[in-house]
Amino acid sequence: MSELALVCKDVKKTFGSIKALRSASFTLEKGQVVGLVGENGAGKSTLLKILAGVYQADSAESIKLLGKDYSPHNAIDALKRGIVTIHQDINLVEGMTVAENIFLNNEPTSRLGILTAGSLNAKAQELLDHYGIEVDASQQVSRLPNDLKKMVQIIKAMTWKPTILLMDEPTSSLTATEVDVVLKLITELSRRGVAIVFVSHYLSEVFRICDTITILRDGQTIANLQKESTSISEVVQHMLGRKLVEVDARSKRGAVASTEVLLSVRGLSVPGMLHDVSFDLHRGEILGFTGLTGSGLTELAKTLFGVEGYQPSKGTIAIRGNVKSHWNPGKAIKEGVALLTGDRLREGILPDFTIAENVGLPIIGKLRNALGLLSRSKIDAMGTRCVRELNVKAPSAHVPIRTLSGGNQQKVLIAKWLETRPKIFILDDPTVGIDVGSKDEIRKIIERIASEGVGVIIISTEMPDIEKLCDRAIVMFRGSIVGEFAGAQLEHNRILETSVSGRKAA
Amino acid sequence: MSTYTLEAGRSNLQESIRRSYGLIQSVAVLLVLVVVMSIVSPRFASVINIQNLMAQMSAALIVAAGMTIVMINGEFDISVGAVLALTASIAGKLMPEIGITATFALALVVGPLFGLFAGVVVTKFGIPSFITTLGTMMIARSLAFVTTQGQVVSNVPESFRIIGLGRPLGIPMPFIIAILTILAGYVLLNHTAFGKKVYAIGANRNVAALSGINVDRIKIVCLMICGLCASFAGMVLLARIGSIQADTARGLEFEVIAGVVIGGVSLSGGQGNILRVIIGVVVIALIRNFLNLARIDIFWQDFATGSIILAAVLLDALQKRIAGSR
Repeated sequence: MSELALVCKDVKKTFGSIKALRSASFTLEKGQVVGLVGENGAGKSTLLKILAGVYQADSAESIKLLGKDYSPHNAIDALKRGIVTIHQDINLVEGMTVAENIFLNNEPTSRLGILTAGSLNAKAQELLDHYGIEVDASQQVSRLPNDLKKMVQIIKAMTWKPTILLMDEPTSSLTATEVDVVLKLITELSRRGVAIVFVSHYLSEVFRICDTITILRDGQTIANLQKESTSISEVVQHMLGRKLVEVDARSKRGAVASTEVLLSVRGLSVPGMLHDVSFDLHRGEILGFTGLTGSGLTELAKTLFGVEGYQPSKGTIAIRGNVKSHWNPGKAIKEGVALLTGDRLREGILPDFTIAENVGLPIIGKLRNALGLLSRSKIDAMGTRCVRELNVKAPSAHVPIRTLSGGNQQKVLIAKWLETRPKIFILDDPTVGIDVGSKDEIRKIIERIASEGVGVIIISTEMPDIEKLCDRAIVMFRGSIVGEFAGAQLEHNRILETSVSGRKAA
Repeated sequence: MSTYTLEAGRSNLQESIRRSYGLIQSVAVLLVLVVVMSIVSPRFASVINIQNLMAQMSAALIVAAGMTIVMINGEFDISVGAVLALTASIAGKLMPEIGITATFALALVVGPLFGLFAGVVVTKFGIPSFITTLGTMMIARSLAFVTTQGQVVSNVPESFRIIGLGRPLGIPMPFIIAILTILAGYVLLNHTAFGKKVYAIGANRNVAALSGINVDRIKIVCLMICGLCASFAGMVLLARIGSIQADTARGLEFEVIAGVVIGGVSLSGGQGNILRVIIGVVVIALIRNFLNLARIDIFWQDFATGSIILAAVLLDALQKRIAGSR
């Protein structure tokens, strides 16, 4: 056994009443890569931030770095002890050169404190060559593709001469081929003696580069496994725990989905977002799309709705058999497509507008009287009807929507789209961030809409939405469809395994 | 459920108080100004001075109607002063040649053309409107000088000047026209689908676009309306003064923007009441008038006006911060 770089035993951390970490433990040897995996909220980020000095542990039996006690007070402390974090986002200064970025805030100056572009470039180039990265150090970062940007970010971290590198989802912003390049660099770094903590949802990548795998669930270390002696399926089981109990075959809604195709998508590609996506949506069907964050779900929704910046480079979108071109939200609404956006605050509500005004926005042109002016009575009637029909808890339809709770705001936004009389209703994360009661109400509303013949697409990373509501579920991975489940096949652990591995689970 | 309704009722009342608070406050500031000025300068409250004031502020009020629409939409137009001068210059030159009606029709195309051009640059190329209209401002100002060749243009027919000099019931005609323009703006903003779209885009252009609103088209139309108002103000000014110079209304854009902001329109768009803007413009005009009457050295007058504008805007920001932290 080689030298231990890091030992964590029984690390605990609470935020208010939430126990983020109950008992996290793992060890890491020099020159090894440990994969830290778990569902969202399992405590991976908290553990990483404690190691990086951003948070302080409430208590720990021991945290030892190279055999010495380690409890950093802040991020600078951690850096000095040789623990360097590589953040999920590519945080480089786009307008500066590769060399300037690599030595930003860590500039190698001459004895007089003078910095010359020439020596900076030479030093950076030396580092890049050392790790076999073919990038010109004097090039501007904005010209690089994402994988090379990530490499520059990693090399920048190496200038701190780290003992341990903490990598938070380093591949989430990359395409499949770019992932390869970055994973090779990570393997190379570990071969040179750096110990690496690799946090990722992508289990196939974890299995490619990690020596050991630590699984967290509800803030606890569930297992520390050697890669050779385990499998993706076993890791998924550990991640889910008791929740794995087989779900009963879902109670099917009365009506069988019709064979009438409302929406037909073929070979849809958007550069950097979607790749060759094809599917059909039927009348009265609830079709779910799920996958990891960053797998192209929201991007698919926006592309289907024709949002600016989401123009397909290839493929077709056909509504009831008619292929649509120059697609935009205005045309989509006219064709009976509606999109409930996932980001309620930034893309959903106008906080200072009243409930009625928010609801009326897409159909404002129709709410006119004989003079062509806005009709108070039509707006009132519409607002009051929506508040009553969707059971929105509000004193009237004329209060600003910001005075409502998240769940009630969401109901108002659903009402807004129902007023456009949609034939195809796309809902992006309809139950995110709202209370349990509203969640159930919204699920009932969705079932009712579908039973009235609307084709519904639900995009969600919340498994209950997919399991309880959908007739069919499609799993996406890095912008492509990797699996489809229906009937008894449609259950939690198959979908999750497909989501994290990128291969359809049996 | 009953406690819920109670709470909701209370928040409803608070809401309506909060909404009219700004208006009450503006009126109060205005009254205080008027009282103080009447005491300090006895000439202030004279009929002649009030009539002059009304006539003088009319161009700014008409321009403010357009500026309010553009600013609620989340943009700026700083070309208004130059477009006003260009329109009046062209009209002053053409009127003796082609008659009043034809001149009027042609003149009212100038502003919308500038608005259309600026709107296309802003929406299709993503250039900030402040910079775009800085460019069109210089172009319009230059064209005004080219049109007049630097001379005073003064051959305006007497029959046209009724618009500027008439005084039904003792109220100067330009002021009546200005108030009617603001009222038209009020109807447009508050009682049409177009107006709701203007507010929605200013509040959050993403939400508006995702609701199927053609954001670019509305933005262009707003800038065209603002240009129309500037041209219209130019015609009214021409009728009132009877002559025009190419550098008329220099700096008017900032005086108007200041008035609109003092009138409670958010600098980031989406909020504001055009009726309250009247008060904002009047406050600025009153201050200028007062500085004249009090014989404040002309070189110090902009200093005083600038300071008061800053104070008003800072006060507003401070109140918003206090309201936000509650």
